[in-house]
Amino acid sequence: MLSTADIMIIILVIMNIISFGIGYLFAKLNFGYINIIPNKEHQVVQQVKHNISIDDTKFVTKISTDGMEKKYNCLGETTVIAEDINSSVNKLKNLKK
Amino acid sequence: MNNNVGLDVGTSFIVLAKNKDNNILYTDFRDAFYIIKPTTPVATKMIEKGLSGKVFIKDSDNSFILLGKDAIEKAIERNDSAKRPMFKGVVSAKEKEAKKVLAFILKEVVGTASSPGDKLIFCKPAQPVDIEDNDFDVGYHEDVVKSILAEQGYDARAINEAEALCYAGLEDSDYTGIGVSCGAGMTNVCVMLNGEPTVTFSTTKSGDWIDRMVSVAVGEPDSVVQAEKEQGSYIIGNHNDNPILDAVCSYYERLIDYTTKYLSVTLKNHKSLPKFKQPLKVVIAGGTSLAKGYVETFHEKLKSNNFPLPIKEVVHADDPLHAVAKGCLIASQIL
Repeated sequence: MLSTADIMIIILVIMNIISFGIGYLFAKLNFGYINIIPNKEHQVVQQVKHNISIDDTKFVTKISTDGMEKKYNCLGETTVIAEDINSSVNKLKNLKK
Repeated sequence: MNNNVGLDVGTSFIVLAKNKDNNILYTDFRDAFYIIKPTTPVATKMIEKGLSGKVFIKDSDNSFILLGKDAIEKAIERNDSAKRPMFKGVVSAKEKEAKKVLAFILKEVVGTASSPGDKLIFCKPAQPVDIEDNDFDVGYHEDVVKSILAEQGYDARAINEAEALCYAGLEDSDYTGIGVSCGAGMTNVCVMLNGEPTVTFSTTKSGDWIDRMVSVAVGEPDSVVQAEKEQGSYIIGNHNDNPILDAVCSYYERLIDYTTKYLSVTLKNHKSLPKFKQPLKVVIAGGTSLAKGYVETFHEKLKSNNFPLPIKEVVHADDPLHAVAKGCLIASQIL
């Protein structure tokens, strides 16, 4: 048989565990996470990761056409079409104002 | 009018548009090349003599690069296919030879700017909705073309290809409607509201896809199929006695069905799509749309594939091969 003092100690321990559990859940609901010992260095690294990006688009080098000797007089066909684009330009300009 | 110019940098054609005494001067160049590499000095001389009268360039390694129509004709003569400086609407970072040829052609077609800083607007494709390809890089394409044109003294800027078509073909509907540019490598779409592009996208199947599929079906090189397709007489939806043209008709129908399905699916519930008050005008242009029955079939397929917007009419641009270049020229006066 347990003595009254032992029962009191067991109840106290259980109460402590329950209190810790409720506190833990409350903290999780409010802050999303618990960080008992804040790691400032880790936080800085995380922040930097989000702010800095590197331009990884392809680099365009000069495309040299030196040494290519043309052997023709005219490239392509030319045609003149009777079209005046002034009205199109003016209408579009007004719309884009 | 100023000296600003518009340039349609297409997979199959490069078209330059310039103002000339209140008319438009177009320069069209067939975007194709074919390389002949002689093995001996004697062969070099013989080939050069044989190419007399053709449009070609001699490279520093003594190879001959035929350009334009002559490249296609020579490729057919040798039962081979001509090459393209661009693939599916863009310059490929991997194709060094193609980039060099494209640079040469562009420099020759546009010439040097009349005065430094003349504005040049060229077209670029939209990001495709039907592929995820790392090699398809519109940004790289734009940078390459810009750097080539800058060397010629132009202040070059890019706009979407179908946006340019809208500028050329939607004036009578207050620049509100849809432009569909059916090029060789891609189909580009732009939905425009009062001169502002609201939705742009592209699909990667167009005329070249038809050539490739027909080529496999009938066992002929792509160049032969392309030549037959461009010169032959056929109507989409009708049977043809010529097996190549019969296959062309069949694949045209499948292509239009595919494109209109993507149009419907992409625009359905699109976040940026405005609420239009009136039924829309759809304007179609590009070399692939030149086939007889293309516009009519496109309209029918839009209806059968449950296109989500009311359509007033589906029309062909007045000048389907020059419409994009004309739109770029108009944009060069405004942007």
